[in-house]
Amino acid sequence: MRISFHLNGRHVSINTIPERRLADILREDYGLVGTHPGCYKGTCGFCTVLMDGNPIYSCLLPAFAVREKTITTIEGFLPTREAQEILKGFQEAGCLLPEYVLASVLFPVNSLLETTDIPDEEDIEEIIRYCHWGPSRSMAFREGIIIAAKFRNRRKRRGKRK
Amino acid sequence: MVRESSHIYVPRNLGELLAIRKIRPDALLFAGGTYILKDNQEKVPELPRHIIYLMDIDELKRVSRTERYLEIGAAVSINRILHVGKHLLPRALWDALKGIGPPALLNQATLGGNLCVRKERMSAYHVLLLMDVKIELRRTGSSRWIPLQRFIDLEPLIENGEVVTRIRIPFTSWDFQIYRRLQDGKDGLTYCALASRQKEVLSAFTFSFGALGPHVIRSREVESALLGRKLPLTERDKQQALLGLRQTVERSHRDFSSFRKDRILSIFSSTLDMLIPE
Amino acid sequence: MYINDFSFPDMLYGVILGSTIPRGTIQEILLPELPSQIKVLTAKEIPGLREFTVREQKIPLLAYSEIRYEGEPILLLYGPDEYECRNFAEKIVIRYESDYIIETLEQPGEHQIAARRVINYGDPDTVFSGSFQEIEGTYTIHPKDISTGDAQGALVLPRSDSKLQVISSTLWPAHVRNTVALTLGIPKKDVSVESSAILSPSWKKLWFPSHLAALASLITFHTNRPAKIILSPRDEQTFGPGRSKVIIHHRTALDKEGGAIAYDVDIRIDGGAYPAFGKELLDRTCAAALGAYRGENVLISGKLIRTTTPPKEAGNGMGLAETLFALETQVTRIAELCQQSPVQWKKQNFQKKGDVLPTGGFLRERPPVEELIDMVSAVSDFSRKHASYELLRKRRPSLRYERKLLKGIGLSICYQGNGFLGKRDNELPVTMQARLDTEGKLSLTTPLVVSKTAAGWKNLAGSILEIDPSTIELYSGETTGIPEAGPSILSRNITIGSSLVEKCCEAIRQRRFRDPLPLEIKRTFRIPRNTHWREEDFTGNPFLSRSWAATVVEVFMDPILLDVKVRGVWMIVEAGKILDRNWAVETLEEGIYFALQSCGAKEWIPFANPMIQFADSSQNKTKGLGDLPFIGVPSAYVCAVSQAAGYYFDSIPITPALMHRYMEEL
Ligand SMILES: Cc1cc2nc3c(=O)[nH]c(=O)nc-3n(C[C@H](O)[C@H](O)[C@H](O)COP(=O)(O)OP(=O)(O)OC[C@H]3O[C@@H](n4cnc5c(N)ncnc54)[C@H](O)[C@@H]3O)c2cc1C
Ligand code: FES
Repeated sequence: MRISFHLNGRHVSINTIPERRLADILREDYGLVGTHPGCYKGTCGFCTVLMDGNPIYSCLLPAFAVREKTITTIEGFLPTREAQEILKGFQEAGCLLPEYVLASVLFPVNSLLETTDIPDEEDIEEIIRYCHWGPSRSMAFREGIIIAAKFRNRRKRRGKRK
Repeated sequence: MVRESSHIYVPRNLGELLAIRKIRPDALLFAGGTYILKDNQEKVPELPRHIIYLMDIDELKRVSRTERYLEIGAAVSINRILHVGKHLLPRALWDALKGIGPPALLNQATLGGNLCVRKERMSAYHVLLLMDVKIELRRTGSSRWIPLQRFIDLEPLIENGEVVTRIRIPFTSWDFQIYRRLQDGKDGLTYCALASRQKEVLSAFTFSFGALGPHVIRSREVESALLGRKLPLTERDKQQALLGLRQTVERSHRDFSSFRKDRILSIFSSTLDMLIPE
Repeated sequence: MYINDFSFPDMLYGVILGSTIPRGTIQEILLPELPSQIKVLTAKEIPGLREFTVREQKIPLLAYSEIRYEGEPILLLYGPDEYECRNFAEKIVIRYESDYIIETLEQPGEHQIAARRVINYGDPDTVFSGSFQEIEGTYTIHPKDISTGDAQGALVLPRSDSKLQVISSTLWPAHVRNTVALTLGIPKKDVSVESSAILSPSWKKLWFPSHLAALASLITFHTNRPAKIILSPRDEQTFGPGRSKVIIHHRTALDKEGGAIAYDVDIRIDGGAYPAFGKELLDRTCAAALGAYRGENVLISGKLIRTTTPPKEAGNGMGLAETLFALETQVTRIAELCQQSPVQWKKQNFQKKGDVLPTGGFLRERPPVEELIDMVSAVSDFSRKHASYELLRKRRPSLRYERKLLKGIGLSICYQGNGFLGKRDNELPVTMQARLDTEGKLSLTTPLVVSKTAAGWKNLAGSILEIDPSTIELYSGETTGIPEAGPSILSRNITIGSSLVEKCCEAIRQRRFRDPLPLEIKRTFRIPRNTHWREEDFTGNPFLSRSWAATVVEVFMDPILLDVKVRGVWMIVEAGKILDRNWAVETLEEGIYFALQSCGAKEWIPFANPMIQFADSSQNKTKGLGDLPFIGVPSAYVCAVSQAAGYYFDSIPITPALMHRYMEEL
């Protein structure tokens, strides 16, 4: 089956088995190995990508469901200001995110910061509850989200003033 | 290649969907696919020969609201329903939907998919069952609205050529709502109870338990015996209600483990304790 | 790059097919018609040794005829398309003659005993017979598999110089090299091993990656093409090594005041079909069975049991998590049954400097247990809470009729025994090279496999030389050309690696402004021989060093749902000199999370985070700390839940169904 879609800003097209999972297509056909399928059943989150701007698990998405969709992988997201803000937040909090967990942390945190200026305990708890990376239980990880929110707000305010 | 690939139909509107469904009544309807792929850990999942993909059909992705009800297209993602707002959605429904999983899963999962699972009763089912929700079933040339209860009892679930298109949730003002989903493997339980109180009197009360698989435990007798009772319930009212539920469970679910039976009774007993005047 | 991220042109994928029966012999293998690009390898195609060795234990690379556990690898399929191989694998039929014998830990036959260990000290028999009372308990640890996320696998490349290049998700590259060389029957020098990035340094990455690497090498050996094996999540459940189930029976003799005067401990460990590391596990479990307590009359007997379950990994704490869970739960129970506070009981029964250990050695340093227990009690308000929850427990009706939230708190004291017991790999010297180049850039090279330790080392080097840690380069693993260094686990990276970083950087600091750049320093860490331990007769002081922790866990429990929420965790740690506080805290917090999960805890009350403090240490040495949560948390958790529920639980994990069973039985 021929499937075309938008991938990290490019329009791409491949011929593939329609049931293949997007996670595997991204890794095996496009070399985008920042998407890490860890469980293939929607629990670990290491395979998260953005589809039309919303985080989804690419292991639960067969190729046929991607037709004409816009997919952003962690490779496409990392250079953005939004991603850099979050990374800086975690860095300042002393929480170093290994490459493996970037997609499972950055996308959910970004979604949260898009809808909330000041994340409360419950918001942060929700991110942590579903994060399958052990150190997300550390104080530094929570701090990271809070600091990232501050960076985001500062930029938003600056944008408004201009 | 040993396995043949599935054939995928991607209808762009409802008309196309119904037409394809008519000629391929055996095809698998694929909405978010999160249930279909949940326990399919193969590298390339094995799917039926024919698949109809539902997520490109605008008519199935609409949400509308009137004074009396909320109407949700079968392919609306759970996350979009949550965006309707915590204050607008019934509390128990909010809890049920939110509890399904993380936002990334809820962006994919649909309400239609949740209600159409055959083997087991999923999270939203118990709440919507108690809320007297109606389901729209469409096929070429006809449509019908049926209560969720009947929909689930249908055998086969959906007649040849039919598709679930809309779900209508009436706005009833339940002032007491509890929803719990306990995931303990084979002992898992889902529970929902809704009640309305008029001053010191219980004016409406309904509850449902779901166990693993398609088991649903309800008791109309217990519900109606409690109606009109003064709140808080007397010890006698509570004991009678508990006895009624115990008998229902023993009658229809004798094979349940004693843990599960006790759990059902103690959850119900604590609900009765919580029913106090507004 | 993680192991699954590597890919090479012309690469072949290997898929393992395992046994579907636990015990028997292979009768016949029926292959479907295979396309020419897919091939199958069996044990017959192994050119070298058909078994590889972990410690003294031999494990078949592929089963030849005999099957010893369900999932045991029998065939290796390979081809250019992984998906296609997996499809064909499903179509292969293997016929067996099944023995229908399931060998279990619970009722082992004499022939199942793979190893025994007995420690007998004083005169326990006489003391037991004259004791005021005896308290008994049987404690069971059901291991819970916690996925670490990153895949297990191996990739092998043929090189132009007819050598093999292996990339492996291993913490023990030297073992990978030996295994590949021996099973292919080629010289070790013809195999070079590179470690891929690893998300979490779990025990699963100790010897098991060698098995996968040897299988992938077999494909390259027969084809001269790059070969990759990646376990799918389902494969991991089938082939991946499991952890040992352990059952420990404690019988303690008490005097009139409730003091312990004799201990009788019986330990049974599931070694699986091939007990890799089993002997170490048994020895450490027995050697640490009395933890921090004085024992003058002691009988400890341990057995390693062979069963029809997959081979075992060692697990965090390597035996100490299990043995100290049993002990701490038993002594807390003793204190409570004697109406004493656990703090008071423990303090009265701790070892003192100069005490003789059951294994015969003298205690050369006083363990810092009293300070730790006081500190943790103070920060968690343990004594007050424990007394008041005890009162609530005694006053309330049976759990069945309770509606109010139940509360409980538990305390444990534990140590992490650093270094393996015996000589073996522990005594291999470890070397580190540091180079400060003409631009002032520092690089460190070591054969130890580095995962999370990297940040800690860089920070340490940065602080000694006053340079930005992010500019420091770190080269690690086998390919550095520095001789093998043993497995990078059991805190070896911290204890040895950190001390090497310190030594190298100190030397550079002293010479930096005196000598011209570049500067190159090489330091080797020779583990001091544990002269206080005689392995032959199992006597003396078994661990090179011990790090300590006092842990308190507080829980709230819903009496209706029997759900437990963790209200708080407090941990005071003495692990010598702490090189990087943030890193140490993060490691402990992560460990606490995994340890609570393995106990069955699912929920945390938001922001009731672990609170971790470090006790001042007189010691200037760094000691390991990563295993402390796995050793200390379980017993504190179980004691807390026991207090909340009013039943003495004696196994982990604790589930609502288990609680219900206790309620019904009692
Ligand atoms: C990790 C994980 C955890 C989960 N946890 C929960 C949980 O706690 N609670 C819960 O309820 N679910 C859970 N699920 C299951 C699933 O995500 C939800 O039930 C979801 O709502 C299903 O929606 P879907 O659109 O993905 O359905 P699909 O998977 O697309 O379909 C489900 C079934 O419904 C049929 N179907 C779909 N749409 C229609 C239609 N319009 N007409 C007729 N038939 C239709 C399909 O043919 C299929 O049989 C979980 C899934 C995962 C992966
Ligand atoms: S692979 Fe784990 S969620 Fe997709």
